[in-house]
Amino acid sequence: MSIAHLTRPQRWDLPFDPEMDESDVASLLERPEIIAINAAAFPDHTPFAGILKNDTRIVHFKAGDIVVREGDYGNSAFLILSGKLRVIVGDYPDVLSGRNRTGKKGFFATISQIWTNTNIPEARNTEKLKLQAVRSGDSRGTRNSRQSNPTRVFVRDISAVLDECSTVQEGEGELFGELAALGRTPRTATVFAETDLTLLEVRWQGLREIRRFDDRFRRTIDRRYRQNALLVHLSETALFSNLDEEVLGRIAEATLFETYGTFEWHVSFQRLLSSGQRGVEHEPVIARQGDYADGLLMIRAGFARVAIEFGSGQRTLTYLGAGDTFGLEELYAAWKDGETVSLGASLSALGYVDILRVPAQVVEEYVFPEIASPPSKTVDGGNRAMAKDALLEWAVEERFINATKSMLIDLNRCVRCDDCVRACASTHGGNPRFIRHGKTFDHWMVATACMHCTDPVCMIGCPTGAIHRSEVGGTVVINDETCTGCATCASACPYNNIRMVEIRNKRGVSLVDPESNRPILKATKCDLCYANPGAPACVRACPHKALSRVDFQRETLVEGNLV
Amino acid sequence: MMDPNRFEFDRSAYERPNNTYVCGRGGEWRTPCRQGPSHDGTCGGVAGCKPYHNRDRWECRRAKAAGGPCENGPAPDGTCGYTQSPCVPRRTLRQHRWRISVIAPGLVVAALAAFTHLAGDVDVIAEIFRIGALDAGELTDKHAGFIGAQGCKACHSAHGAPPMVWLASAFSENDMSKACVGCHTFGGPVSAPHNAIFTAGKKVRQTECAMCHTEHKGHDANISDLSDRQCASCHEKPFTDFGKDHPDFSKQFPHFRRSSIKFSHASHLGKHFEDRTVAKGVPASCTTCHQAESAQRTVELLGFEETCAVCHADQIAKRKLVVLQLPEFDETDIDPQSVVELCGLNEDVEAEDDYESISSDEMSDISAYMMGLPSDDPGEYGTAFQELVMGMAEDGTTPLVEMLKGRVATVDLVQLLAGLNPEVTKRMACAWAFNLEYELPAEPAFGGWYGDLLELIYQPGGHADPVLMGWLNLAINAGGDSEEALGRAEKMRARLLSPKDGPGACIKCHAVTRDAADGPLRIEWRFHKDETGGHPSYSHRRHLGLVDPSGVKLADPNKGCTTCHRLDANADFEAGFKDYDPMTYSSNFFSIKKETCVQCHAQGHVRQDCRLCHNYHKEPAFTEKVTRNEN
Amino acid sequence: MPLEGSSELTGYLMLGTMIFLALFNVRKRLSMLVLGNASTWLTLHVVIGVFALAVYWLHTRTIWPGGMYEKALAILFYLTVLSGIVGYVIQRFYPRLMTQTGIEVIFERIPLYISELRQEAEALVLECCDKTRVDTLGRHYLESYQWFFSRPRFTFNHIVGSQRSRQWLKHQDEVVRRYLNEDERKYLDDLSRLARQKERIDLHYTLQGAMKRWLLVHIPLAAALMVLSFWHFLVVNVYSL
Repeated sequence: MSIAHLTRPQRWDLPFDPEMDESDVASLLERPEIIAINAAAFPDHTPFAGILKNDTRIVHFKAGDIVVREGDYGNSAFLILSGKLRVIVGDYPDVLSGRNRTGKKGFFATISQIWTNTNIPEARNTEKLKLQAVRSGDSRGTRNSRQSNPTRVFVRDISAVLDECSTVQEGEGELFGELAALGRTPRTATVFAETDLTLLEVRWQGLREIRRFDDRFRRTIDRRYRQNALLVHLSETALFSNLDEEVLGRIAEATLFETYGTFEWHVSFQRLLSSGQRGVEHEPVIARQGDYADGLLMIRAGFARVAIEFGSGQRTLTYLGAGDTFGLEELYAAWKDGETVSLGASLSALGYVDILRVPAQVVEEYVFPEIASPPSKTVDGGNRAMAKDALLEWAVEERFINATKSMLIDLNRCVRCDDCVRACASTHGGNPRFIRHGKTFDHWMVATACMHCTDPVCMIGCPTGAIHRSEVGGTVVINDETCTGCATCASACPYNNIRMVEIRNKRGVSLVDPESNRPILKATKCDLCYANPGAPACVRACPHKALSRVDFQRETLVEGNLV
Repeated sequence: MMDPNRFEFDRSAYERPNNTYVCGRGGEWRTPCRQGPSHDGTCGGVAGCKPYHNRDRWECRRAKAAGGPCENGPAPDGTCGYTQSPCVPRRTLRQHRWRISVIAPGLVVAALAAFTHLAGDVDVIAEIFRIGALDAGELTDKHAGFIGAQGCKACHSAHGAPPMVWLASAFSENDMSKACVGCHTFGGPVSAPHNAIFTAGKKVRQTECAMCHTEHKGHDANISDLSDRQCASCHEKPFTDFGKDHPDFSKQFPHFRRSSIKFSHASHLGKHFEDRTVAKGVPASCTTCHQAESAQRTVELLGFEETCAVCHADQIAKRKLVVLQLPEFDETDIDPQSVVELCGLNEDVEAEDDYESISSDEMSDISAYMMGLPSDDPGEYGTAFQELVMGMAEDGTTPLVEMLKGRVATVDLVQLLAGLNPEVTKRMACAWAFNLEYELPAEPAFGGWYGDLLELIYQPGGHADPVLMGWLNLAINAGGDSEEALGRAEKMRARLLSPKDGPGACIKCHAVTRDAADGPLRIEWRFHKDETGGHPSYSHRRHLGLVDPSGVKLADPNKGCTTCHRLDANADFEAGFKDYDPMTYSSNFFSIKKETCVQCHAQGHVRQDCRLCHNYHKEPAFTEKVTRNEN
Repeated sequence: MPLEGSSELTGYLMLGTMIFLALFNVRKRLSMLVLGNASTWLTLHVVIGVFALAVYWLHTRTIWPGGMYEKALAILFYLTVLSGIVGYVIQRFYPRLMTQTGIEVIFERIPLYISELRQEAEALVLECCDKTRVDTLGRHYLESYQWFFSRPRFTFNHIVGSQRSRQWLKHQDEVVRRYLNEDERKYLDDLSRLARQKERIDLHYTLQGAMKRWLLVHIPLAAALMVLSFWHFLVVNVYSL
């Protein structure tokens, strides 16, 4: 696209809130927090007012409404316009979250599945469906539509919560939630409205633009990040773990933040794949093979590909996820021997990646004297047969790198008996939670079963928090009772692993929402049998060991077998 | 179809492999509907969608996978525009599998029912079918012939019983051995191992016939052909090699019990046969006397006449039995006149005033025993004896008979006095009555009863003289009421049964045996077939091909019979006959060791299985039912 | 230790073995319980199934028993074992054949795919006849491809792994090609491509179907065998134990 056509960001075709108008913007511009931002610094094609109009919206909460839940994934920041809210610090009652914290089924519950499983598809016990404190709204609709009557989960008894939990009160002018929005990390605390509340919700795109153009804002955001999150992150990294707080603070000060790739990679990547715009040559390069290593790169979020030049293309050695480092061996060798050492491989962004760059001098000064020689993690890619890496290359291209538990089926062993599907159904009341189809490569198939991604884009935007990450093992599960069937997660999942189903009662009659006359839908997906004793039923049930739940980075895939 | 859009969440619904039905149209390879049958088996695809009444309009709700909402929408009355006639949903393969898996066992049950009870009663075919479900295979020809109208019930008592009784018998022990014993008998209890009565005290398990003999193995099966393995199920030492594993033979094998005849091979072969004077009687080889050619374990001997008589026949007649002896009298009560009346005049009689007994002997032991009188006290026996003499003078044998009658049964009397001529006794008694010695007119060259001087003598005619045998049998178990009587019996016994001077020289060769601890004595007149030492069988006949004794000289210590039976010149053979216990015995021959047999019966050579030598059953035979001729 | 040639011992061993083998199907239905991996169960099932054959011969001490119902038992047993071996063998080799087609289809969706291909083929032929104003391709379609697209074909050939269907398709293509002009030939190319796609689906249908259908032999036979074995157990206890 030529620049001439790019008069404004394309996303503004779909504003965050279509009903945001000039008067709203005008009233916002009078607020001191907004005034503090230097509108003049914004370029013509992305004016600040435009950001306010298209990338923000004003949302109202009633007293008791839960604004965000701890552990949710969200990509908005909030500015309090009026009212007061409470941030819960520490433990809080389970009912405030939209999750169920049921543990594994007991012995009798497990055994009774033998006779309670039914052939009626998606039958639910309607008496037991406790309708949670969900104020029903227009449950359908995409993220972007304005909801005049939005669905909210609310706290029934505010004073009780205030008595039980320790909370921090925030008032007008406070900004919160920006770290989670920018960093694709879970919300760190549950926030609910104490009084009737008005918030300015800024979606991450707008937030990013403001940070980019307004120095003060950026410094504020960065300082908050450094103070709140970076120190913790660094101290949890093995490399820095035995440094004292003061040194860590200095390292934190010196660290640079970099972002590569598209934040919304999951929306477009399927399209790009089919149009041929894929492959390593289309990925943003973070570091190039042969360059001088000027800093230690640490992945904070997202994925990056490590590749070397091979033939006329690039050969993937591995991929890195959150917590991995790049360039450590080269820096250390350079420091030790006193010569410059160039990077042994290239690093490119897979979809989206947040990088922390710790400058080389800082590392050399504070870190290297304290540690022993780091173990060499380089994978010698040049000498392995190309066929051995083919599966990895394909997995990276298809973005299965996100997966911690992708369902990999060896088609040379699978006899298509469907025992795995039946086993899955047996642990879910007779309803299977995956389909034995999916993309294939040579004799491998990645079935459409939830892969429990490291970066769970499905979780962004769930209105009730029904889809959440279980505390044990990081399994992504959907709470059937609080799910409202809005299909946000299903449409977001780039691998099509979530399916909406019509639920029925025990006699097989479809349940219909009386107000909207539409069938009640629920989102369903593989939950790794987290509520059942034993490992996932599908793996146990395959008589030919054809099925495994795989993390592509951790498994060593030898041709023909999973080692 | 391989379009990746197929995987999209709104185009691809879950597959439910437990479905019982699939679309009928798909089953016929037409175009299947998307909805599929409902779970109760009715067609679910009659209409393309189920239109929703939304406020005042009907909206199409067709699934996105099928193309999304249709253009035309539902009719104003709410029916879908895309309808088709319902299909007949077909069962899935899994459902078919379930049904067949129920039908197949059902068929089996039905067949079993048909083949046991439900077929008709009379028809021959039905009879075959009726037991079809129970038929375990053919019986051996022999048994099949004996089953008759009873059929299976002949051995299986539960057959044909009402169902509950039949079922209950599954829980009880079988009693087939009872059926077997209806025809088969044994020398001991049926249910004891080896049909033996065990006295050791340890509890012995009960055995059933069917434990080893399994029927229903075909009409020409050999159900008595058992293997070593079956022996080894009780005899726990496993055998693979007779030479190594079988215990050594008993020290005395095979000479556990002394023979009935005291024939010392050592003295005969060593000494007597060397004597030139008897050269004509010496047997040429072992088989001259021992009939080994047709023998199994026990080798029969030829009789006395064929073997021993050549040398020993004379000896028998030389030893005489003295039945009566005229004892010394103190006085005589005999009236000469009556004697003359009875006997006639005797010119040798001399009148004498003083009576002087012609005899100075004692009474014979036999008569002492018979009359129950002390043989050395004339005062006691005088009268009785004289009466006896007078009686004999008058009647001949009658008083003798009277004398004996008190002691023996009538039958034995005949044997004891067989051949006794009243003339002999009368003339003899007459002489004694006259107080004279009786003088024979001629030499008693032909044996039999005769009186001589002061004795009534019986001379045996030859071997196996029945009179002598009778007297010896009488003497052997003679007893008495009092100590005196016992003493007399003992004396009589000692005289008659003396090997050196007993009459007929019977006891010189025939052994005297007491079989049981406190039992009676017995003279072993006949050849005793030794069955001690257990069950092992041996066939001399079969082995003679290897150790052919014909032509082998007696003296040859290495060939023929001596291959196994080696002479032990130093054994104290005589000692074994001195007591009445047949088991204290030192044979003339060394015992046969296992090593002798192992030369051939070893691993890889000739048969060495248990049943070659050992029999299991004791005297197997058939009952009368089997052998009786019904006609 | 019984004296009767250990048939009682091997009989109980046989019974225990068969019950264990039958439990495999039970375990498959109880995946919600933690009863061990199905792959372990399958390995044990196959190994113990072969072991059962040995125990069977030890028990009967003959290859072919006498007696009518014992013959029936022997037949059922041998057929069950044989069907099991056949099933094991095809499950080792058929998946690879299916992977080699390059496509993957779910068995229950095959009627749908075939009907779509059929419709696409027919639409193609109709369009060809329409656009080119010649009906040669259509006639040939009716004479040959229509039969082919109506339902899965060449099942036997796919079972034994022969290439007959490919050969047939190639032949049908050759047969008509000489009568077509260049435009029509483009349509023929498309038609052939669709036909080859259908051929792949046929292979999947046949092989996946075979891997489902062999169980329709193995399991009913095994069920009948269990019933008859129980009868045998009863009869033996009534008549000889």
